[in-house]
Amino acid sequence: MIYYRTRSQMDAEDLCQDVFLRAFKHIGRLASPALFRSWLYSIAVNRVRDHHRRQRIKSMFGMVSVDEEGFQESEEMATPPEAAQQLARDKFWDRVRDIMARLPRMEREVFYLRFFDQLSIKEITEAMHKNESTIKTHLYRALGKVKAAAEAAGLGEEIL
Amino acid sequence: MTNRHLNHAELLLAVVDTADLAAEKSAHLGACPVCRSAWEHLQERFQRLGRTARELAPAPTRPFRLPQPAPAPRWRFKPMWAMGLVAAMLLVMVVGRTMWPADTPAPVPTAAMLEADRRLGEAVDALVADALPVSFQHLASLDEEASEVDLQTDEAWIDWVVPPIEAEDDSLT
Repeated sequence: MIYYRTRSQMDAEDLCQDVFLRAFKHIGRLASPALFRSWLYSIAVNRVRDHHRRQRIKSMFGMVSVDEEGFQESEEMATPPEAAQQLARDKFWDRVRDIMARLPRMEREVFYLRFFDQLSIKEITEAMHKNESTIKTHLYRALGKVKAAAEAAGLGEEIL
Repeated sequence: MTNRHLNHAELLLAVVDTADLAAEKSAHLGACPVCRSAWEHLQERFQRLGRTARELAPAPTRPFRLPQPAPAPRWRFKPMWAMGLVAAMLLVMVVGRTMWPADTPAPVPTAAMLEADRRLGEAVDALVADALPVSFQHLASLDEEASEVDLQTDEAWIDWVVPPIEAEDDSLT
């Protein structure tokens, strides 16, 4: 789930390590095992937000190249693809990025959690610390925008 | 049951949660094969997008590793009687020193001692004047040349500019 949000395998693995380490350290604070998945995702979402904020600061000093959505152009993205499969993969992620860039942060996050990470509405409310109707409103808006963006880009059934 | 098919907005609402549909629309969705097919098709498209993303995300190359636990300090395993003995000896030394003050006169400060005191005072004054770490000093200084900050390695500087989100991590508990 972190890779979807960072688009860099190296950053995703570093952040993943950090998320699991934090979860391991603070597992005693988890009141109910039923909340574990949502709790882990809430840590991950916060860590990714933190990462993007840091990347923006670094980009101000020209240390990294960051596009408007905060995705770092990593080495593996800049490397020319060597296979058709890699080309297709890059094309897919480019399209996903273009579509998701049209969504406000909350709508994008809820959409990711629901369809990419396969969380239920209840789990999303717990991970995002929002009430159910707020989450549903964000998801409803996101669905409309994603569908419209995919159709406007001529992707139709190809990507969505 | 109404005969009107679900429109685009109602289909999206049904993808979010069918329970949010009005009762008559929900009944229509349950009975109308056209609307049910449209709803399932729309839902499948969003789910397929997520499925493709999961398939095309690279597999992790590194396993998660816990940091090696630090070895427990040896003093924790010393018996309580040894610690008590040390405490008692310290107490005797402190009490004995106050009850029998030393009869040696206080040393007269020499010129060298006074000079050492003066240098110490200057060092303390310098520390007070430049209390910030070196990497932060250029931020507070207006008349000095800015020092170089290594953003790749200076995590403390980044944390100072962008405080990490800590409070929200465990608020679910």
